[in-house]
Amino acid sequence: MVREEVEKANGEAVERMMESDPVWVGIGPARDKVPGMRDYVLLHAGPPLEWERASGPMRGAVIGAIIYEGWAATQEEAEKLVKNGHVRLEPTHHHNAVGPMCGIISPSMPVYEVHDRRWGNKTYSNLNEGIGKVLRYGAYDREVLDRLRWMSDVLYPVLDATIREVVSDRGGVALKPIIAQALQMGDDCHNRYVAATSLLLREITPYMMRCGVDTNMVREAYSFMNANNFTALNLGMAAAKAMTLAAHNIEHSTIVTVMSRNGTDTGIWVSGLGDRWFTAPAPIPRGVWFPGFSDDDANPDLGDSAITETAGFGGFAMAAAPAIVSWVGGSVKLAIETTQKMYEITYTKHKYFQIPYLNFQGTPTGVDIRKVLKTGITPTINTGVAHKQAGVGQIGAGIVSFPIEMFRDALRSYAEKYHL
Amino acid sequence: MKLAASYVGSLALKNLRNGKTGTVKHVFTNTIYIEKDRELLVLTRKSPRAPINIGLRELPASLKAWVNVGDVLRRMDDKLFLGDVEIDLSRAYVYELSFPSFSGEPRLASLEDYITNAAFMLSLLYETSPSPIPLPETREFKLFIQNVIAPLLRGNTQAIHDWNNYTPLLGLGGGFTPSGDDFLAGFLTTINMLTEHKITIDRDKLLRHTSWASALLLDYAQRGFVDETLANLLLSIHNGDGEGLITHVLALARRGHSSGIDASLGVLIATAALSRRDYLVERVLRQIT
Repeated sequence: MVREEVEKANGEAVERMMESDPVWVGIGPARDKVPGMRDYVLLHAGPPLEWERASGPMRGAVIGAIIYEGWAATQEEAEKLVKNGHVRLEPTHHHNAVGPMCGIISPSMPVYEVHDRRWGNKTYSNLNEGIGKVLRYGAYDREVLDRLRWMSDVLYPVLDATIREVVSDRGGVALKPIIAQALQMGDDCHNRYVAATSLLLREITPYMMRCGVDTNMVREAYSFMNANNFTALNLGMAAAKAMTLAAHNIEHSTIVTVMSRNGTDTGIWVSGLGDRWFTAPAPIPRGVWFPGFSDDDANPDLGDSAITETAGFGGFAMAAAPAIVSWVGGSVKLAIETTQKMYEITYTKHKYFQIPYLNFQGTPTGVDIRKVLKTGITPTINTGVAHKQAGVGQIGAGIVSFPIEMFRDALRSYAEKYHL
Repeated sequence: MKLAASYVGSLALKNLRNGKTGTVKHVFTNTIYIEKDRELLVLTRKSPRAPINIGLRELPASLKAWVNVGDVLRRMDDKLFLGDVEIDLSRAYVYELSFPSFSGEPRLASLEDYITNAAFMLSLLYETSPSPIPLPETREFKLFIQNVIAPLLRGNTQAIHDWNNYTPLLGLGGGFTPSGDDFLAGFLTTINMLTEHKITIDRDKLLRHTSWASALLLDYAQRGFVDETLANLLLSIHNGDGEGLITHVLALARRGHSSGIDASLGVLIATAALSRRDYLVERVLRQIT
């Protein structure tokens, strides 16, 4: 009886995940868009986190966001506000939002709004700042904050006017076709978004040209987005969140619907177990370091971007992106083996996301905690790596496997909830 | 190809001392099964450790590339030669299964919920294994419950000593070690290690009913030569450690296609029966079937 129920529930969960139809439909300040967002609240990546346990980069990003919001002028004042509870930290996932690395979203920051046309959910993500010394990697000096303000003052109005044009013309920018196409053009759509960014710009540029905003602002915005290979990352993540949200809260399902890290802990949600976090200490990625950095500088893994693997792409589609190994390390053989291993722990092959090198097989989709426990294989993801000290920023990229303990704890909870 | 051993199991060491040569019977990607003086010797890079194993330190690719069935194993001083492979034993430590000397009655009373939950978890894991018919669904398994477990619950221990009750399960199911053998390995090890009963099925009888390698693995298991995961599981049960029980059941369940799940089920059924609580056996069976 239980067997049939699990099978039916998992089938339904992955079907909903694959049939989700996320479309970029809007942009606006988080306080206006994100449900439950309010002043003196900061959203962060991963499972819940107290300030005392936060890693260096997470602390740096929180401090930076507080200064950016104007709630404090200095690092000391900012820290005081968090320590005394005046500023509250809440996980992005509790608000249907996602953010790469530290994932900090503050009330004034503009966020993408993605609408799942198939299932009706809305999800959100912040805008991408580029690589190197950026807030999401824990840097918060003047250069970082100036860029954030420019994004709010220039990039946001351009994108706002642009997406309004797109929506009035054809309802929005459908994201699943962009991801599907990019996977066939050498992206994994987690740590390589070169093709996806080009495809996105191809979609929106005509609308950007006629959006009515000052031409110099449009030119600046376009140049910024075009120069950043990760421009499409945050939209890809919001799309993945929409897909996995559609698969969430299916009674009896053993499919994982969130995998995320906050730089201290890593955590998962399981569809049939609701919003309960199962956590373990975050591992340190095996990385390729920027010049001057080494393993000793690396912070434990961080970010909501593993939502891409949860939805069946990213590291799970590494075989589609052989060039990524120059960024995250390893060999092309490893990239292919990684994808092949992920088939052993997933429920199905994706209907729409395919890998040319593997004869257009669908990507491994729907991590099943039963299979993780049976095989001992845990999800492998591609990730950026932050310096362990606040303020430094990104020091490399790499590959990391999730700890098995949280899958074991999830299965135990599942047994407690559902056993006869 | 030069390889080094990280450890030599105590039984493997004893076996190596007898005679000089052996013959390769099975080769897998990570493991080789060798017959040596009618005993089994396992070369493997997989964990967990076991007394019959020689653990290989590193392995660049599949062992199939260098070793074939029928190759002869030769030992010269601290080196083993096998096909195109040379294995250095000089830096290997001896792995002695430190099976605890169980004293007193196992503390089973506190384990009821853990055993039920573990059984449910096994049922979930059975669904991920490729076996067409999970062991608990077979007629032979149901017969075993009826003929062995039911009397045991009533305090009748005669049935566990009757070897005829085990024959239907021997060799039952597919795979390198058939499901029935794996189940019996878990069941008999539990009975033999946690109670005063000592049930040993004659090796020749085992060899008549199942494959050579599986018969020998079962023979070693019933005599207490098991891998460290199974040993840790039994230790948890003896100590009434429910958390440990769950952890080690899940670790054991990773072994093979359904091998570890079947062995875990054998342990749980034996433990539930030893508790003499018929409702606990019923609960386990309800979860698993």
